[in-house]
Amino acid sequence: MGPRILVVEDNPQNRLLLKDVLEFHGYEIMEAEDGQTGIEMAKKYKPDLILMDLQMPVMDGFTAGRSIRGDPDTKNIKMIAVTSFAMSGDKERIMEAGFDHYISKPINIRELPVLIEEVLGVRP
Amino acid sequence: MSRKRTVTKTQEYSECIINTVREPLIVLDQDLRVVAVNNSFYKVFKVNPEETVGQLIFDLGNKQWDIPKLRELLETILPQKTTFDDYEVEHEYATIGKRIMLLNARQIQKVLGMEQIILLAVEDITARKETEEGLKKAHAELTELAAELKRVSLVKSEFLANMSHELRTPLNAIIGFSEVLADRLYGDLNEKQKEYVQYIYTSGRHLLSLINDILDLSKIEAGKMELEVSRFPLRTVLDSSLIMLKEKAFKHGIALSVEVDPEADIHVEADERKIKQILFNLLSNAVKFTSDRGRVTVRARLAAENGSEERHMLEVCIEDTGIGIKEEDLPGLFGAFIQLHQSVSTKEYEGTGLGLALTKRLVELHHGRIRVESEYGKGSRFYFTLPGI
Repeated sequence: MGPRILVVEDNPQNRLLLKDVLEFHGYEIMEAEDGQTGIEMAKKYKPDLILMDLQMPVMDGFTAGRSIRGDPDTKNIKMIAVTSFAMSGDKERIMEAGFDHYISKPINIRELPVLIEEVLGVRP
Repeated sequence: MSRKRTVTKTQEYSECIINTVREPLIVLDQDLRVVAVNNSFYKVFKVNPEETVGQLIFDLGNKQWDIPKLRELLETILPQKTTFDDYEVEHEYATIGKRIMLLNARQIQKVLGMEQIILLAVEDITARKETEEGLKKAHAELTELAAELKRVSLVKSEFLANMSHELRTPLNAIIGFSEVLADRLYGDLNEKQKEYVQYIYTSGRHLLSLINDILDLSKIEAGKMELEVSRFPLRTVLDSSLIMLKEKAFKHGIALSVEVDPEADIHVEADERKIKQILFNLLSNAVKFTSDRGRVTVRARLAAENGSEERHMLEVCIEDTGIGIKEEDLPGLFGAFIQLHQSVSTKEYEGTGLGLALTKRLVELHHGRIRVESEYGKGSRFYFTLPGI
């Protein structure tokens, strides 16, 4: 199996979409449905990359992202934010929360694997 | 001339003057008895000459003029000051109702053969006051209304932004899964299935562009659209916008070309992505509404009107030889949800109906202006201006 990606996304269909597309491209996928679970799984499994939705119940992606960046165990994990807001200032907020990159919804499934390769610096 | 004749002449002269004055005027002697009043006074206060001259001012009109503030002015203030202006008195007259008056008083010594007279001008400002009050009230109401409209607009914008987010989540699944199928990530599809998946995908994209336009419009209306301004050559964005439509134009045999005047081949200071959006919207309209083997031309030149200014205005024109716009359709063209040519099959001219409304606002965000010239059946020309450097 290739690099491990943790998908943190509350919508089950979108989670499945990301999982199927990324598994097709050779990644190993783990799933979490909110920010809190995401933090716990990141600590436990230390994936190579986290794909994190920003708007989720229980704990949003900004909070989870900051927490993961702040924890010595997980601070080096690459993180890509998935955002559906497109307001000005969002980009700054995302970067400030510690994400390496962000993509907007709807996700372009042809561009996503290219971006992940770029962020990871390796091919699966 | 005898002294008596002189006095009479002077009196006549004085009466002439006071009758010329448009506002009510009273002349009083030192005992505050009326020596003379002008015609306007009779008219405004509806009193008779017989009951006026020789009377104590406070006794006029059956003691209707016994006004405390007037007494104060004439008996207390004036003996000390000799002149007094803009003394406001409000009084309820039995005959003519409530009046607001502005009084000017002058004390003059030794005239008209008298020791002292008082000139009292009484301006009736009731109507003016009412107008002022009305205006004040109207102004307050308008301010309140404006604040209310602002609140409503803000709530509307927030609602739209939230809606856009809620709509994007399911759209992500619709577009994403149809792409997975079309890309055959998990196996082949038969011809029918491929066709249907393509429909799901294009419909999803269409819905997405609608949502994007609505979000952009609501952002602009909420004043939340910020420009990322940079400097870049105008020609570069013109060329790259044209490239995006090259394939479609080619398919329909439409000739696409750019003509940039040498003086207009300069840099602009603008948000490059938004300028591309403006150009793409206008160009895709031009291509969409131009029949096969037509022509779409982009021209850029310096706008003449601003020639003297340090900062040049550039004018970009997108011209097509398409179906044109009927004269009656031109005024509302830049409104939201406008799709003309309803009679023409909607499939042929599919669009969001928000493109021109958004384009206009994007141009205006750049302090530019947009206008259109069109001849039905012959073609259209859309012009917009941009600040050059």
